[in-house]
Amino acid sequence: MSAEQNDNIILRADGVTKRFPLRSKGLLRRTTGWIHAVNDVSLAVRERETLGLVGESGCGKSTLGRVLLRLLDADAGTIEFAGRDITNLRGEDLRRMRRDMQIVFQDPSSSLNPRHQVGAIIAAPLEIHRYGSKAEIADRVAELLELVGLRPEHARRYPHEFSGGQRQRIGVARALALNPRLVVADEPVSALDVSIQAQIVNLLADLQQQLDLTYVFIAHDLAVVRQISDRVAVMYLGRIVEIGPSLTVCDRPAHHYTNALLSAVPIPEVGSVSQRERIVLRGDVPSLANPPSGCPFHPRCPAATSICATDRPPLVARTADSDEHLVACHHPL
Amino acid sequence: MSSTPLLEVVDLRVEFETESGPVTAVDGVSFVVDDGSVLGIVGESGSGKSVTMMSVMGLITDPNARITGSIQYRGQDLLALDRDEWRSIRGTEIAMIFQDPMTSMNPVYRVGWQIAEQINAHTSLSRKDVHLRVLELMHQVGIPDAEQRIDDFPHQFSGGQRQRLMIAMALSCRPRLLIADEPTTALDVTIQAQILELIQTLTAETESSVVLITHDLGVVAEMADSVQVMYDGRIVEAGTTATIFNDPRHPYTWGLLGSMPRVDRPRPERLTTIPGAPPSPHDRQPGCVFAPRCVHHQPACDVSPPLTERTGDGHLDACILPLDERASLRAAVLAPTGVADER
Repeated sequence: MSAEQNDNIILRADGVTKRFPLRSKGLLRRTTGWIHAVNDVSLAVRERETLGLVGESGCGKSTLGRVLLRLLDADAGTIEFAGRDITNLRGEDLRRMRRDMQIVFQDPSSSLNPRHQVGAIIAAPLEIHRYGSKAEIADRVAELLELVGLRPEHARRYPHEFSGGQRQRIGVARALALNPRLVVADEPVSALDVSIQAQIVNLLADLQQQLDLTYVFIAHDLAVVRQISDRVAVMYLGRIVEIGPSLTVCDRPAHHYTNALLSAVPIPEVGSVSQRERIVLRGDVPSLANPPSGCPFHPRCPAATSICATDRPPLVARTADSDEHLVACHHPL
Repeated sequence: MSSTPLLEVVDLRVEFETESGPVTAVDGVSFVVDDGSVLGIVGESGSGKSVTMMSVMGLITDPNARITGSIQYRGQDLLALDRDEWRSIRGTEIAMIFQDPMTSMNPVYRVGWQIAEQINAHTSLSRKDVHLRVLELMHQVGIPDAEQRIDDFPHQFSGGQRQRLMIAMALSCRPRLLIADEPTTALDVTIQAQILELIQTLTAETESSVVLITHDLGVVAEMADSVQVMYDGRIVEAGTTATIFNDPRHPYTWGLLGSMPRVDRPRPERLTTIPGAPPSPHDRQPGCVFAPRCVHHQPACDVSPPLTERTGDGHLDACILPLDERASLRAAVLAPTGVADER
């Protein structure tokens, strides 16, 4: 990141690693190995931008989102939010910081308590952080419901009375209750029907404009990520393999993995397969417990050479004149 | 092509009696599947696409369900079959694969045993021949080291491999019709591409017909010869894949196409949306099923429009708007190139 852009960076991760133990069966449950879900990830999110985090299941994108929010503790590296190192924040300090960073989950039916009225669900963060009197909280709930396109009287209903799209709006309202500066949205539209997905994507974009929000938008769907993001980071096996402006990464990818992902997105157009060159990747994503040597993508890469099996390529600028677009590949496109 | 189609569904209606009154999940659906063709059925959740094909497969066993109409498979009425007669159709003639292979495979049986069970139920091969056939199938669907993995359990395979095993089971008796209900929805895009390619090659080899149920118009464009779009229990548009994508006639189809973000087009400032939410089957109004969400709704839409051919090209739609008027309305929703937005 160049020096003049430093001042508007709201969130920075530096060398962040998160690993989970693999335990043996039986009584002792000895640790037999580690899953490196996030491996030495560095990135910066600028104020009021949307950074898309894209990759296939198991690539570590959700774990990274949770580590950035301090919902999981990093095993290595540092996280800075609004210029302050929050890696080891504890107790009251951590709680206060949480007002400024919130999360929207994938499945609105499992992230909303079915026994609570919608008003109580949205009021919960306000009560926890002592927002104000009962009446002030009720006013704020009504305001939030209108903000996300619902009606104030919906506060007295239960989650099951709403459609999937409306439930996701409730999840968004809850996340916005405390006026956060940063929202991590973890697959917020992937459980929704196509027509509803578009409504929520537009809603998130509108709210960002209105409330000066910064988003980290986690999704596996490249088309959705390209639509909503200013910049995109592509993850593979716990590492960022490419990061840059959304339209550059999606329209002129430099990493062979990004290119394969893009070519696999089905296009709603007749004859699109023959017009585009599809790269069908062979095999499954390798296990994180036993990642390949060298470049993690080399066993499935169409352009891999011998160096790819031995040396892991660093994440470096694609062209010498700009450090906006970074790629980790020995033979970039 | 013979005069009797492989599958002919006429005026299919599926009603469920529920505590809060009857629910019509499928409301008068008719279509034909020809030999060796791929039909895509597209719709959102609750559109009736799965219930339609579950009826064809004889899997609606709920005592509160009432199925009327006719389902003819090679001239035989499937709705009149009893349990034993069904056994001779299911598996050998018509087979089905589902979205989530983990829920349709038995977690406590070895995969080889589960594939063999299919073959044993419908053929009288010797044990050794069944074993060889299982290995051949596993090899065909691209499971590496089939000999070593034949005695593994479903959870030992990845999601994509489990879907391959499901396909092996479904195709074990070379069915003439394969029903695939959202076969790739739970999979990552790179794995989806592999599975779609596999379904294509294997069904082409056996000259089987495929009915592909999906919400993903991109998958349909790639796979299907013809497409029908369902909404709230009815077909609102049906025709060749080329016409559905190049010249869609129904406002709902426009809405679906418009609300999909695309990686191959300039990025629009905003996505087109269909206002409102899919209807609840309890409060079905008379008239066009899509009218409550249609931006071109007019008083005449309150009379239910039938699915008819309006153009002489065999394309069916259920919209009362005059065709010339629709062309300009569509252009507003589906601008071929969106506004480029270099943020």
